[in-house]
Amino acid sequence: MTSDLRLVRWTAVGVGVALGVLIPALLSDFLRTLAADAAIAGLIVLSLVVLTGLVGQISFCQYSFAAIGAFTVGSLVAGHHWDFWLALVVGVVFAAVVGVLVGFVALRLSGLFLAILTIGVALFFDRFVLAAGNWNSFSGGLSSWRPGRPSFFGIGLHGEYAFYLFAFGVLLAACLLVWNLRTGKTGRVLRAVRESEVAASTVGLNLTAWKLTAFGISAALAGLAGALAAVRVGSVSPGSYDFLHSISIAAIAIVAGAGSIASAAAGGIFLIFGREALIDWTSLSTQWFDLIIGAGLIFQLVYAPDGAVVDIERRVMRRLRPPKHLPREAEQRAPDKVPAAVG
Amino acid sequence: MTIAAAGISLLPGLTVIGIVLGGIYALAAIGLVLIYRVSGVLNFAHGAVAMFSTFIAYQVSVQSGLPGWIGLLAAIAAGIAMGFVIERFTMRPLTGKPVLTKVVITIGWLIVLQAAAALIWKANAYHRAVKLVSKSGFRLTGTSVVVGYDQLTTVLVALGLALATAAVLKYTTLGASMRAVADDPEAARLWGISVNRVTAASWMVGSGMAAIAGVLITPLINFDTFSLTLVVIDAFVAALIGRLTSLPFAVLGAFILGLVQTYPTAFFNNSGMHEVATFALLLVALAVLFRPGARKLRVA
Amino acid sequence: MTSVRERIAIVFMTVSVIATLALGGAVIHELNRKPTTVAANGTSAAATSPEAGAAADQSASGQAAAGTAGSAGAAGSAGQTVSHGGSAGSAAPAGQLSNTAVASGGVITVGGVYDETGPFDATVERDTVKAYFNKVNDAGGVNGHKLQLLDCDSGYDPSRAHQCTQRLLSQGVLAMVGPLSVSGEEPETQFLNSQGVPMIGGLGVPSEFNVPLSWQVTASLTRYGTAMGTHAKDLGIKAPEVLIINANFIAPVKDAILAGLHAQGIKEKGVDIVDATKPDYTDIALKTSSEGADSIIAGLDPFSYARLFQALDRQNFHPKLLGLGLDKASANKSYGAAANNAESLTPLLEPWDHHNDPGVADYEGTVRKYFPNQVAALDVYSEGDWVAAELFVEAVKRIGNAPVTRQSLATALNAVSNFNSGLTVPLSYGAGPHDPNHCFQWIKNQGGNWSTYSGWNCF
Repeated sequence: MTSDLRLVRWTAVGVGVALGVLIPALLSDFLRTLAADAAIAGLIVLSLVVLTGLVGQISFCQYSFAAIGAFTVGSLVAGHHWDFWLALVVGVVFAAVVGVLVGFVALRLSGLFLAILTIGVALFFDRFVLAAGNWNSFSGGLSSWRPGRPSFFGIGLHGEYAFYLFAFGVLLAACLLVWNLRTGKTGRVLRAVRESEVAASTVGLNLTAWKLTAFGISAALAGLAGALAAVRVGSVSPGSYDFLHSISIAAIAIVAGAGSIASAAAGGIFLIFGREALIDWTSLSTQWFDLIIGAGLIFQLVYAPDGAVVDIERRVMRRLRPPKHLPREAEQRAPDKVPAAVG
Repeated sequence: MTIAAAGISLLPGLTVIGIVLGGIYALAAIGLVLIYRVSGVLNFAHGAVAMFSTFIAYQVSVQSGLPGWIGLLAAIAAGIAMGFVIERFTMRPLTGKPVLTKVVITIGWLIVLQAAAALIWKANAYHRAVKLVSKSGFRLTGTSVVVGYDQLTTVLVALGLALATAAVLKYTTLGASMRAVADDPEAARLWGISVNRVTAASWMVGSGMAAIAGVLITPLINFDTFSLTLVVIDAFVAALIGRLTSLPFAVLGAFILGLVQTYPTAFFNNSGMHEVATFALLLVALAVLFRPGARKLRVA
Repeated sequence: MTSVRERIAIVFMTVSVIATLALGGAVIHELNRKPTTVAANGTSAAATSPEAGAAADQSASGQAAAGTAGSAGAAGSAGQTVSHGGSAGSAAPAGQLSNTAVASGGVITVGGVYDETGPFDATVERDTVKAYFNKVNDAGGVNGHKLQLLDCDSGYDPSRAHQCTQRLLSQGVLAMVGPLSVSGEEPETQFLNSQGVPMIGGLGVPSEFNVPLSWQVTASLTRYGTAMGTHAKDLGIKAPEVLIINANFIAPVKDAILAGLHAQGIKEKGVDIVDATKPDYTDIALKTSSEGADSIIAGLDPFSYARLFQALDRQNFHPKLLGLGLDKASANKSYGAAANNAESLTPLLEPWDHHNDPGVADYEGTVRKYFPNQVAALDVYSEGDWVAAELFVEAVKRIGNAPVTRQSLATALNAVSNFNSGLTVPLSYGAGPHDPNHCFQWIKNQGGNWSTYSGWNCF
């Protein structure tokens, strides 16, 4: 990549972070709440970027992983008076373990059947794990857990802006982690897996381990998002983590483009602020937002299979790139022949 | 979770309930299998198509007061139209693309149809189902269960449709073309078969069956915008037992699933156990029937 | 090879990150400054006060809703010290009540969070409040003020319910009137209380009866359970099967029903928790009859009742049935013959056999006038919201020509005594948490119609 491109990329990241910190400082508490929700939703989109963008797997149960984080925090903090941070770690590890378990089954399955498996997992969570009467000490039974907000090194996270900055910081750290995964040796390996399993195995890659790692990291990120959501709302109940949430977020990740880290921010902002903008600017029912997501998913897969954010990034890059680098552009484009969304 | 005392004495009755439930799943699975066989796409929007068609029937028969069979015909027409639109405008342009892309598009349709139905008919208002068959019934000898004529109809129509579809595939020209396209689209093209037309036909027929299933199933379940979609996801498990391609085995799988979901009621006071059973059946079906090295499937 | 431009970019990024982090830290520090005392004599306090809210939220959020009306919060009396402690079991302290006035002759805007989409339909509750406001506005308003309800769809999702609450607060609502957000009601009640926002009417969850800034008009869901358990004995029930829907607002009902039954020496045959989407109740019918249960005591939603009745009807099994919320007109159409002789209870006058009662006629007539499509969907919750709207307007009337503020509204509400809503027993309020309605009338379904067969029974 040329220095020009790095310049653009680093500047964009710097400006993005600056705006992400500064703009909410000027907003009302309501918009800060939404911004924190957007950061949390962004984490879940990012968890799909790991899975879909890096190893070409798909998942329709990310909110079930989030539920593991949320209900672990809920039951340990509200039910057993644990410290939030300890509960957070337990929740994330627990989510990662379940992610690896799902990944273990998924190893044997190709795309279509993996989709069925993850839908099965999501419905199993909806109807059994989180349903009252089965595992009440985890799901809270017929009442919801009410974990309070923690402090972060002595700074209370009770204010909406403080909590937003915390969530935003977590999102940035997670983005950095995923960016490392993508650009480091790991990332090249994972992308090789996405391109061709046969090719990857001929160069001696341990496919099994990498796929399981991707599932584990993805589930851990979703679990982290769930744990944050638990204390953001202050109440954990199954209605916030059902199958419909999972398919909406998968749709949004695909529309934004699961191949790019930037789409995490874009997806989160779209999911939360899109709905609010719809309510604010029109008198339409919130159902219209679902209609728009679904139609966007269909339209985008038929006409721009890589996703909106990836598409925009590429256009910007193309404009900035000096002509002499054309061959490299072709090289860079090659991996995207297979739609990022569906490897 | 407590073990109920009632236990074994309930089994004959529960068997009947399980078979009725299996009939519902079988009915939902048939169109699904037909579309999958010909186009290789597992249609996640199948339940949504059934739901939307059923709401058309509701509009015609319950809201406008026309006879139930006119509502059914309207629903079938709507189902066929939706099948055509989905295939022609969102599947055909992607010929040659990975199958998973098309499957994800059907999820887009699921979201769209669901939101559209919620906007038109309200997601949550009480809807009365279209009444085609009498709800009264007869007591089955040897059990304490009364079987409704509407429930019996579901089972019989499921069996009838499965047999009819299998016969059409086997004995008619259209069926032969469908099988040819399913086995090898390129070879079929060389034989002068219009692959596009045959694929479109499978989507239209399959979606028409979804409409029939929807109208017959809704009196037996919650008639809202989401319940039917969930029923069809259960039907996936049934279809998986038939390797997604075999109609007789899909119907058998449906009855197995119906029984597996019903029997735990005899022993547990809790709805949870049959979800565990369903999930286990899904895992077993995926692990055994679709393991690497299992009989080659036409999955891109 | 690092070019000059790249170095500039990295420096720029670093500087911007450091600057923004510093700024952000400063803002957090500012927001986290906790005032120890709050003097409520200011004339221009902000519409919501984040500091006081954040502080009170801390103590409110950790609490279970189990507290009885112990130590009273600060509602209604100005110049109180906001408590930071809040020991478990006592009522949550109220947030600061704002004194910001609504301009005289202006519009009084109140809010409501409703499940407008999802498995529960609360649009009828929203429209009932709107209908009452429309009626008042068409008659010239209250003391020159017009009333406006801003609604927000929580979609059966507590996370969205919280977004909705924040949205309505940012729109500057004076109070919440008749909210109905099934899964978000409990946490939002405590949040509103901590923010110093009055809430009038609601679903009937425990916290609504435990915080000082909530003024309820109907009986709590817990009291429903107690009444049903106790009434079972009058009905000759000896061995009931208890059937409860899997929705988190109903937990206290289940516990109270069982406690009520046990207090009467009745032992249940079994307790079934069913999912709202359960398609077929034939198995429940079979099991209940084979266990030898003589009755079913149920807390379900209207759709689930319909399928339960369908299964009972088909199996020709007609146990005595006692259920809460059975008398919804639109649902009764599909209940069929199995609902005949079903028993229920209501803390509000039963509309089915009181169409000519002035209170009921006003309620039904007004909704029919403004929202004719909602008449069939009216139920016990919409009736409660009607009374909540009445109570709110009564309080605004009592404020008179004084500025309408959250503080003056709370004071006026607390001064309401023996308020005759026309649909309930007289309601009285005062300082501290409020639980004014303890009374039910028994109702029975005969040939598809509900009729009242008792006076008020109070628990």
